[in-house]
Amino acid sequence: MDNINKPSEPTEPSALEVQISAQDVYFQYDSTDGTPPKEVLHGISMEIRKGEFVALLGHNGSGKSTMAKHMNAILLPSGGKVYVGGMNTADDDLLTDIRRTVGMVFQNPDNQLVATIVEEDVAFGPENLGIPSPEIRQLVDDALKAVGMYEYRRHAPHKLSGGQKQRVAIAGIIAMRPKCIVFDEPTAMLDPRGRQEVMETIDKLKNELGITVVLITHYMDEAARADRVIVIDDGKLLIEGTPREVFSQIALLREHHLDVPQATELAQYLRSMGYDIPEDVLTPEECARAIWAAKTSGQ
Amino acid sequence: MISDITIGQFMPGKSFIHKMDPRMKIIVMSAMIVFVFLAKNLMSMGLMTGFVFLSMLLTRVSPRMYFKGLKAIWFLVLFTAVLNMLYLRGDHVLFQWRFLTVTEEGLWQSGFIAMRLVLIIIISAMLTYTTSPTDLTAAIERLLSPLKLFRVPVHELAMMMTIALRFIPTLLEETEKIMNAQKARGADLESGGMLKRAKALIPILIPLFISAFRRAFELATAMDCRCYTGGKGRTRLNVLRYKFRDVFAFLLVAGLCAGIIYLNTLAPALVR
Amino acid sequence: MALIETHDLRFVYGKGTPFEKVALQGANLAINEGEFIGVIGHTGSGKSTLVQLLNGLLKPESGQILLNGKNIWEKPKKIRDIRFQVGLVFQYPEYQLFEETVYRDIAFGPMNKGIKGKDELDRIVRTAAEFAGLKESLLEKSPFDLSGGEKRRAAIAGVIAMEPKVLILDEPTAGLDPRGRDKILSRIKEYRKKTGSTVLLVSHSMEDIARVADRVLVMNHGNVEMFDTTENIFKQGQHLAEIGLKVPQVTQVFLELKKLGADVGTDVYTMDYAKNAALQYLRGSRTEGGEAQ
Repeated sequence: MDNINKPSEPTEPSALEVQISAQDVYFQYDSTDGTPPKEVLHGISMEIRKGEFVALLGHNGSGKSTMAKHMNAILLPSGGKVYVGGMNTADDDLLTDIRRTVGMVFQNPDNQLVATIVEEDVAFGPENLGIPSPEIRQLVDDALKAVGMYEYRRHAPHKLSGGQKQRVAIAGIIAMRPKCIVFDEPTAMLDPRGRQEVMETIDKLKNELGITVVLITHYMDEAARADRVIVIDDGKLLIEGTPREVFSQIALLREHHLDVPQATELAQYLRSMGYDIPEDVLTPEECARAIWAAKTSGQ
Repeated sequence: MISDITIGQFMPGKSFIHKMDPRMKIIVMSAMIVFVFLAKNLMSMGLMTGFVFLSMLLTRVSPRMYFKGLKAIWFLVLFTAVLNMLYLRGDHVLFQWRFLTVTEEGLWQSGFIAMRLVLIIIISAMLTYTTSPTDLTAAIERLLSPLKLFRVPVHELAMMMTIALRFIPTLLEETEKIMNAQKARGADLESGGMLKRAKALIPILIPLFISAFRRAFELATAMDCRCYTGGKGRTRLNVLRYKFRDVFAFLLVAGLCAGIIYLNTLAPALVR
Repeated sequence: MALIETHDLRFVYGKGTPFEKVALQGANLAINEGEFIGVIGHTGSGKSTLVQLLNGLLKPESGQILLNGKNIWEKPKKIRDIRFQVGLVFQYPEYQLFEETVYRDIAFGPMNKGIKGKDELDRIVRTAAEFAGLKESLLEKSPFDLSGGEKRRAAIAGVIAMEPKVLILDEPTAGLDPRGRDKILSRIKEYRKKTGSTVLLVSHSMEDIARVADRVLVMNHGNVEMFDTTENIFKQGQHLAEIGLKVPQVTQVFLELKKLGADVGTDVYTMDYAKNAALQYLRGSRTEGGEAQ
């Protein structure tokens, strides 16, 4: 994947570190009933750097899922270009290489599992790639251990909890040794325990395996864990920055029907009331400490 | 009700039979089903029955599971046996009442038929109890692969079977959920005549179909993401390889066949 | 007299099989007319079993459910009538839509109930649609052409249209974006205000429960763990955390503050309340429960 066939425009040296690059992407869904095609992405550009954890936010219908599906050539742009590790997603010959580089995990864990036994399911990707059997065994075992589901390798997927199923789905992707995984609302259908399991797994992928993570979510506490947050609205990029930078824009986010973490909102309110509290508070602990500090210094 | 059916359920284990190559299991067990029909007198039937029961114990699956499987169809066994008993005529009448006649020949015949049914059920249960659906599909795919020469899409069929097996429990669960949801809206599924009941199924079937299509669509996308492009160039996690135990099982069953044929010649046949 | 009462309500799944599991082990509770009850507990705590027992979809293993003082299983053949009085909206209810138009789908429940008059049916359907925040123009559309949030609300309208005395919603906001979630919660609040119905909202989201409920029922391992006013429940953040439930972020802020040694109350569970309490603390006056909203 290192022989980068680099696009012409961005020439800075950091471009080598780019995992996914979307350049001025337009996309429209063709209608089936004769109405004019509906454009969902209106010229959107973004870069995902290697090893980064990026959260993609936006309300339903903002185009964020459509954008995500461009990242491994499930959808192809109707205008603009998407490059994955330098490979143009529109190049049909590179399809397998692209999908091996960028894996995808979806919302409903049930609808991603193919086989009746956990380890057989995890093996599905490597089998498709034609990897020899002994190597598949190694890949499958490693992947299941990475998500903490190794003891369940002989179980039937339908008997697992939602969080466990989703971890198996993640194992199925990492068994293909991708450079990047795009998660499309992986926790939306899970209970709080399942959400936590999946989020811990995602953190682990990023920190221990060095996998680039793109996470689409509605949960702001999940987005707060990211290195960078990109907010999409109406098929365009609204803002991007570190979680602290983005969440401090409460008014803007509200206007676009997005939440902010309650801790951030509370801190900003107190700041607006004249107290010495930083505006980029993210977690309850930080918020409590900031209030405590403001109180004790004020006395 | 649905959960009462145990035939077709896989019970993981580590027995000799569990560890056999699924292809050999299919071959050997199909052969055994044929041999059940070869046994014609008490001696050969005795050998066959003994062989089946011994193999059953070898699977280390609790015999209770097999009897539970039999329970589901004991009525069928009994019904066939009684029908045969009354239908078949012979020279040695044992019992007669109005138009009902029971002969010795009829009794033997029906006994054998019942026994054959029981053995066949145990053999099939043995296959499914000890072989995971995935192994079974893989074995069928491999056994049928010569048909590829005749352009039969063997891999695709096997893939369809795997997916069906994977989604049956999910869809059963979903059916129950939808039924409950419609019941909560006052749908009456339990009363009325045939037509009314059939009509009452519409609110269940439509959501079920829509959900199945949605699942199929999402699954197809997920499979694309995992680089699935059909059977060409695919490898497998578990490669099927015949081992010594498979050869042994094969020889054992061949011996069984010879034994049955030999024992058949020692005494007159009790069954046609 | 309470509207709903349960006495030693017990339920077991898969009775007599190796998979037998006690889902509810003797629940006693009383719900009054017009209350807004939040129900929380993690998966497997028995909360979904409880709500299905309340409308007669499941039959208790032992114990009783009284609706207006009458045992709902007194006449098992009449159990369908109970389902019209206790409306239950399942999780992901949009998957139960099946009719050609939204209008006809909403009418399914009332028609099963036996509403025949065309005018009355029309009134009921339109009222229910309005409660659910569905525009008139959507009624003649196919339910499958609606957006995710609209589908969900159409399905909720289908239950509201049975004009139940009690409305139970199992995770009505699951999987929706913040906008869809806010819309559904505000519609439910509005419905309850206008009709005075009793509402039970099952949710994993403490933030949601905190926003709407008068009283909160906490389920744990098939038992009623706590059942008290929302304020009193969130005061026990530590206890909630122990049984694996997550308190709202603002409550966490105050729990942390207390840990640091600040003299603050921990019964803070909504944003407005938190803002007031934090201001009072910073200004130097001790925060007391006081007015929440």
